[in-house]
Amino acid sequence: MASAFRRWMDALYLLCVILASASLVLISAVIPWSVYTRYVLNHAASWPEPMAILLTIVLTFFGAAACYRTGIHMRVTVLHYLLPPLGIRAVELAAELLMGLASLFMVIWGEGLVATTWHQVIDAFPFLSVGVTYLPIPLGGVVTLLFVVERLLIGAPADRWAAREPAAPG
Amino acid sequence: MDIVVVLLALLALFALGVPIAYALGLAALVGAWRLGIPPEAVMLQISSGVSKFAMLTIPFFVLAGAIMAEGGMARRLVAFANVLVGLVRLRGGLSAVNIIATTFLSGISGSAVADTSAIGSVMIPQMEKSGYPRVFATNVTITASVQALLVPPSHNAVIYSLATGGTISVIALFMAGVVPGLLLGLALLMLCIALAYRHKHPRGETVPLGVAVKLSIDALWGLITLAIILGGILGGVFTAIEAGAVACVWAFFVTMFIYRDYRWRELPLLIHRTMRTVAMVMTLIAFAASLGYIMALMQVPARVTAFFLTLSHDKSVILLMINAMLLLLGCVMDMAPSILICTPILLPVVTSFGVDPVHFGMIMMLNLGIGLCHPPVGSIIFVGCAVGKVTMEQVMRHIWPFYAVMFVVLMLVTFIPSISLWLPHLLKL
Repeated sequence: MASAFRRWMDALYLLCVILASASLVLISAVIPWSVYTRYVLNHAASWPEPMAILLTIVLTFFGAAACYRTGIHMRVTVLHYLLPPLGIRAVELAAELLMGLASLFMVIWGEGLVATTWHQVIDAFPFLSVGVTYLPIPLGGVVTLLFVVERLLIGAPADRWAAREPAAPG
Repeated sequence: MDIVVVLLALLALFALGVPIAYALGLAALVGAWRLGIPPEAVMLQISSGVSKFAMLTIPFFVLAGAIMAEGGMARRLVAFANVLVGLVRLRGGLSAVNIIATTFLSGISGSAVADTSAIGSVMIPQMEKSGYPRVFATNVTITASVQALLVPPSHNAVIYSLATGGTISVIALFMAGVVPGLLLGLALLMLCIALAYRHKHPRGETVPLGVAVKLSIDALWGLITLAIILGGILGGVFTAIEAGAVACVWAFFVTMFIYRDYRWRELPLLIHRTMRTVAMVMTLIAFAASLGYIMALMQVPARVTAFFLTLSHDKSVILLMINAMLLLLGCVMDMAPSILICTPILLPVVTSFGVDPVHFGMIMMLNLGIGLCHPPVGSIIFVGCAVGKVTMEQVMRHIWPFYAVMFVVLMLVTFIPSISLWLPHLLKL
């Protein structure tokens, strides 16, 4: 049961990584395209900017869930140096529960934001609802919540996807 | 009272080890509850926090920097710096090569951690082989990489610009960082030369002309990135965002088609690592926007300004206090969250004392950059120790002269505003 759950979470993590990474690659393609249309085709395309913003939201919230699963979000760990092992475990448990709370907030009020803006359309993409652009918030919240449950029930997974540590933004 | 509750909640969340981004969001919720604001308002701030076009500067510069730092650029810049230093045959020449190569790479990567890892993996073994102590080589690498936090395209300068609500131009910040960054490099260079004479470090060696020309041409491809970023922005060809995007495409082209020492199958891993870095920072920015909103409603900046005024009316005293505060903060918190939390609070304080926001940006970068060079949260020192294969204790025992030099540069940048503002004013930014 535990190993099946872990496999499902691995698959979900992979999906988040693919969505967020694909967004990053696409963002890196659409903005140079707008430069190209402006200078070479002499007709600046209007869609790359809103498209890039939309992709940024996908990248942020699915990427954030993936970062949470691998435990690479920045956090203050000073207390971990001062507490005995049992204290550290208690603190970690409290942190996971609070993360669950934050995820629930994203799910409930993110969904509220999607519902409120569902019938508005984006100027550059009249076929697309504004609500869709905010959809990554509640969806990212759901995924993060599942990762919180995973950590609480069967512990943190090993970060076997990255060969090296990510470059922190320092 | 409301402010105290929010601050206590934030400190408790930090202490418990809740990821900083989510801790900011939860503290904003506590603030909303105290102020009687619906949680929808907090959610709206989070969503608008990432829906800004200016945010795109971050993924582009992080990606371009990662491609350049991992794609063989560091090795070529080291070789180019070696050619330059070889011309004067300096004592302690490889220390100078390390610092100069870092200066070049900083102008491309914008990330101190990337510089430490990329330059350190090339320079530390090379310096040790030439007779330098490994710990010394590691310390040079760690402290020299702080230049990346100052010179364009510093990722943290972009984060600072976003933390000011986009009121301070990224371009002005980029230009403001040039002289402080070079000053730091020069100061570290002087220290290394002094230590080289004291400890009898070997002299640099002249590179034969034919080899020097080949190495310089090889490095030129990467240095063109710098020209794209700065030339494109200052020439009015691109915005900062577009410059970052074009730099990504150029970095990809140079790495995969000119240098060709990065394998295609490694590319997805690089994208994955970059995505995680970018997502981490973007999440922070999104949630920090919600707390910034709550703090503004609670009039925290005005109250903090009033508090500082009760302590002193002297600008120098206030700047010294803020420096001390930021240095202490740098001991316990990473750079990006520190910038995002402190900027909305401290910027109104310093501007009320007549400090230019661009100048304050540089003060903040340098203070928090020093924080990255010491434990317990200094990411540069951790990466430096890992790359240099030395312990934290060894590094800490010998890093003090480097700290002293960085502190002197910090004081110069703090109390001589023209160090930061001369170039932006010259370029009318």
